[in-house]
Amino acid sequence: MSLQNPTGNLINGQVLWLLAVAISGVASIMGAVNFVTTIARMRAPGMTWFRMPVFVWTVLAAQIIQLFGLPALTAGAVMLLLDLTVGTTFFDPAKGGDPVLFQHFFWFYSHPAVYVIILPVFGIFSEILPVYARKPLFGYKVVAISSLIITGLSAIVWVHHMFASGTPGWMRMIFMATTMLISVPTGIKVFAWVATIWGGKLRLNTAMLFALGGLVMFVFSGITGIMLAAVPVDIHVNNTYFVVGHFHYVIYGAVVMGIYAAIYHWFPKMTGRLYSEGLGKLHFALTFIGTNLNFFPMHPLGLQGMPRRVASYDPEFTFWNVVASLGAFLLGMSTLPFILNMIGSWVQGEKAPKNPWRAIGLEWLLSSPPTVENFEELPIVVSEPYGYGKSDPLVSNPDELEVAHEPN
Amino acid sequence: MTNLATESIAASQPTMPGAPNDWKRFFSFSTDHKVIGIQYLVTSFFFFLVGGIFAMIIRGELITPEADLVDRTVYNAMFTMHGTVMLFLWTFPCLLGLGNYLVPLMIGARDMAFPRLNAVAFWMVPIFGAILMASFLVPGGPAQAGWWA
Repeated sequence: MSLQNPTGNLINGQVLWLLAVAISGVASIMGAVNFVTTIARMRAPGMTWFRMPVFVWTVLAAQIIQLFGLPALTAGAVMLLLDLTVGTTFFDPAKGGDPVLFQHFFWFYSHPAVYVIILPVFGIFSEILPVYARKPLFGYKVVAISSLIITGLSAIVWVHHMFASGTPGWMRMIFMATTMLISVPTGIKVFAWVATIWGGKLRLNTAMLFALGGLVMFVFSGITGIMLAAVPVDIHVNNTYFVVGHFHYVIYGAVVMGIYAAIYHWFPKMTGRLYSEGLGKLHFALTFIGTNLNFFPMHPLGLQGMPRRVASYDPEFTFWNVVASLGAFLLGMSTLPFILNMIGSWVQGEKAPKNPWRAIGLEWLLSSPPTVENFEELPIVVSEPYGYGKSDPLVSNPDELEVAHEPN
Repeated sequence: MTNLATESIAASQPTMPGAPNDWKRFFSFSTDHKVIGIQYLVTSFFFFLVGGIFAMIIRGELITPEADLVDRTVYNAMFTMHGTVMLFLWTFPCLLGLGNYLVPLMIGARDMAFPRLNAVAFWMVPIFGAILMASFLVPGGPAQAGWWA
């Protein structure tokens, strides 16, 4: 951490950064309170906990993390802001403060934060795979509960970011074990998704391609994650590009691909229009190739010892860096067909019906887009989610959910 | 079929589809979770592109072994801002947008539990985004310390 203030100005980049992070923390806590309350108190009649779609479970699990984690980050940011502006010395070792304390504040939130990001993406996979495989989600209850197990474990893993910060050996062992334990609930989920699509008749549209691509990338990043959890490996590759490669496989490979999958899947519901499959598949191809070209080379670079956060490097690292940069430019270009598709389809795409994917879920019983306040009469839910291949109705009053409209 | 609406805190007036003020609700202090969800998604995607430009500068610098494209302090600012923007202004708000749009629909609710709190939480995103971007204008430029603050 740096307490430098090269300009001597009170308003400098670092102060604004901390201010932004603190405000972001407050805003996210407000959001988290809202989500947890909504999910606990606002469910429709018959929507019991174990009838909730997995996406709702994962949002709940993620927002609980925000509730216990964000106060630490926000407090750390405010304390550092005070150090920099009014001269407190929480983190200044010259005056009795402790810089490692900032690392604790930071990582106590910022490791769970990656679960805040990835959990809803797990929910997205769990929603999308059954629709396009036409099969119920395998092991629904276990998948739902494993989200909460990840929430619990996420609170006790943060020190794995600090194996090289003078952490005592016994503490490293404990946090190595808890970090590796995370692979159990996530492994359960991956198994359930593979079992869901196993033997299904897959419809490979853009949303499904992004979901499958994201799943593959997540498995890869999960393997490097387990490698990093092992103390000897972590010490060896600490502060190298291996860590950067692992992180970007999770964030771009799994999270951004999952977000794209969700945007394509629910685009007809949100806008009332269908997107262009051709542009969508082009977007997927560019994204998948670009992600691997960009982030795979970071693994060999890291293992060879190239440090992160540097602007220049030894010429022996040139080859993989050129590959990574070309992949990055491809990834930059991959957003162009997406932007074109979203704007073009929203303005003049084909009109979407209520349920273009024959998906099962309350949102698909409403017109696209749903009207203000969604439901004229609240749905009465009478069956489990993901009833693909079964004939049970989801609600007992499907015709009363909306005011009657004249045909379009 | 569509029955979109102009929203404000006080009034919720249904309008005909395609009405000229349709798009304006996305720029208003709407309390409709579906409008807020799309506000989150579009705002966060804008910042995704901003963070992407920072990434292009980082990778442009790293395509050759020498530090020849940008000054080292600019490079440090780029990776710091790339990480900050991509996490706090892209992935978090984007997933909040999806959650905002989908959770009430999926559980059969008419809106979030606290619609105005929801709107306030959203409008803080462009505010702290602007504060972060303003750091390009102050003497010394943006933060350069990565996650070490």
